[in-house]
Amino acid sequence: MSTQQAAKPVLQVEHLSTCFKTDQGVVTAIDDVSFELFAGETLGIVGESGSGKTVTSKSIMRLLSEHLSFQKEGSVVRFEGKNLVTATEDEMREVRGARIAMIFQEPMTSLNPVFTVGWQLDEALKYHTKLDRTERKQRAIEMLELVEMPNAKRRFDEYPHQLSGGMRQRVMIAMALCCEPDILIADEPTTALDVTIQAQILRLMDELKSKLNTAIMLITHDLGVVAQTCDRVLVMYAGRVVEAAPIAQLFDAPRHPYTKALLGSIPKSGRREHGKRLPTIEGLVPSLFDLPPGCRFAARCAYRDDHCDAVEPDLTPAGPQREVRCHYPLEAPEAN
Amino acid sequence: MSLLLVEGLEMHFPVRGGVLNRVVSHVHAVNGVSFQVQRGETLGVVGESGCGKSTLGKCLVRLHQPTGGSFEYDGVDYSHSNHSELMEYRSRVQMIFQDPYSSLNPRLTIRDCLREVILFHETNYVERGGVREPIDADELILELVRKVGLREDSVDKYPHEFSGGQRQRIGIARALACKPEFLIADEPVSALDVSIQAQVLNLLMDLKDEFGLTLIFISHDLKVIEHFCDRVLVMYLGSIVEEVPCELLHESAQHPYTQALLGANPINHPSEKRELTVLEGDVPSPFDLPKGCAFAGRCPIVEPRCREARPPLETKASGHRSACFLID
Repeated sequence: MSTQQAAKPVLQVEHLSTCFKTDQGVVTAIDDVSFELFAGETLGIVGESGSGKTVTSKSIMRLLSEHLSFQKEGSVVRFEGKNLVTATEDEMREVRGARIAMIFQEPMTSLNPVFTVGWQLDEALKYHTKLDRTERKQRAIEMLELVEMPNAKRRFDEYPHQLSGGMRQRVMIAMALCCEPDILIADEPTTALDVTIQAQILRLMDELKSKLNTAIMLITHDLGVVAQTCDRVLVMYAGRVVEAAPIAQLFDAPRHPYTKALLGSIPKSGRREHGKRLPTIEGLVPSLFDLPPGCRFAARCAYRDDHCDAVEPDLTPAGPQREVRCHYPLEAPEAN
Repeated sequence: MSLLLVEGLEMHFPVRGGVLNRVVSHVHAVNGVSFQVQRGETLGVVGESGCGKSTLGKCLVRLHQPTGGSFEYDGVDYSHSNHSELMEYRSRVQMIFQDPYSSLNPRLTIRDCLREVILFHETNYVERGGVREPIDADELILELVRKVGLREDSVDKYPHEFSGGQRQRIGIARALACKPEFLIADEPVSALDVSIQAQVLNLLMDLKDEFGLTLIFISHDLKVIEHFCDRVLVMYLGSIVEEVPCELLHESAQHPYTQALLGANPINHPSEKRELTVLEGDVPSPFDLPKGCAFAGRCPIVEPRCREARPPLETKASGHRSACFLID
């Protein structure tokens, strides 16, 4: 990846903060999130439910209701010189689907049940390309073949309920990729799928990435999926990025106590740890309505002291391409 | 003698259709499943969605009436027993459900929810010198709540006031309220975040030791099964394709489907990065089962004879059974 790191990022997110207006007041779901995404890389965003992974992706795509949510002053999502946070709805329509595409978690609910697969693929092409009807159909079938849909020609005229979960997710991917976007945001693309189908979809995304040089933002809670597919990872906790690192370094030497605890709490395959207690993170994620003044992880952290309770740490550089938000980052092991 | 003996269990759901609403076909959810569970062990059941693992669990507490086969618990056949015998059976065998959001009654406080079970199964009595004496149900409720790691002041709250992990603890407390010997846990941690998942798994492990429970643990996650269980049944399309001790899962599991599941499991660490085993195609429809091996359509080493006859589940080594013509 090092060669691509020198290149200009395709997407720059700076100080992105998204707030929701609720009955109990304004709540900040993601707070000061910054990262860059480069062409041809897969960036993983991991965290537990409520950590703000999905809000991050929906904020970038501007898919959140404008009546219920807003971005704080200074939030910037820079894409091709434009700031998407302040772009007009017309400008966004040019970007969404065509340049930045998204795959959603639930292939069952994110396809429209009353239209055929072909119609839904055609819709995106109709808006974003100048192809005529026959060309569009041909292109749609090509896309279905590209995502290895069995019987692509027949499936074109079928309805979503006639497809299995894995096939629906393939349709979603075909829809997302039919305009050859620069960025693909995949929000838990395999969470609803079985492992054997998950393996199919992950391999497919990987192949498409190298074929089309798309940058992928993969949002997931599954660290195994991250280990398998990502180049770099952001770890989020309670709306904050707590650690950012290249994949191997994150697994070898997590610097943030939360990352370390999270990695520890997954059962490992083939390690003969049968019947042993799993290391856990005691307690719960703090409510976003009632955030502590200091570090948000302090209450569950094994290394906390009074300073952590009082002052929230900043995200600070911790080695090449690494950042960590902790007063007492864990020691990196000796370079080897 | 084994505690639970399951013999050729079948569950075929009728599908009705047409103008006269006749039975037009059957969903073959569970097809002749046989296995044993020894007292004190934890048996894992793994498989993809639609393989019949949840249906199997529900049949074993008779939430579904099996359409064929039988099961014996502690030497007694409960597969066709009458209502009173069934109630006695269910006070010994309890179930924990997958979805902690829908499996609790939203209108009952935790106290009411647990009290219902205690009063129904009359666990608030102790034998003292041959006389049955009632004890305070509230005491029992508080004890249960403490056991599953919830705060005592949470007993008068309603389910919606709890997080997913806490609700799953309530589900576990409810299952334990009638002092069962045997728990069937159907995907108890699948709906939970990883850090909470580890907490609930540890809780189950502690309770198992404390109460000497026997467990059937149903999950789609082979990593969790491997960590938690002694033995694992791998199911595919309603049948057991392999049974293997978890310790030997990586060494001796030979069935191509088990291999594929192991290979498709995401890795622990990026340094182990490998090509995931990718099976082509989807699980066949349970409406009309293939004549031969159910896995033949996706199997990487399939031979013509696999499509002709169904391979029997044969004992390969002690504690290891496998249903495949092509392995020995």
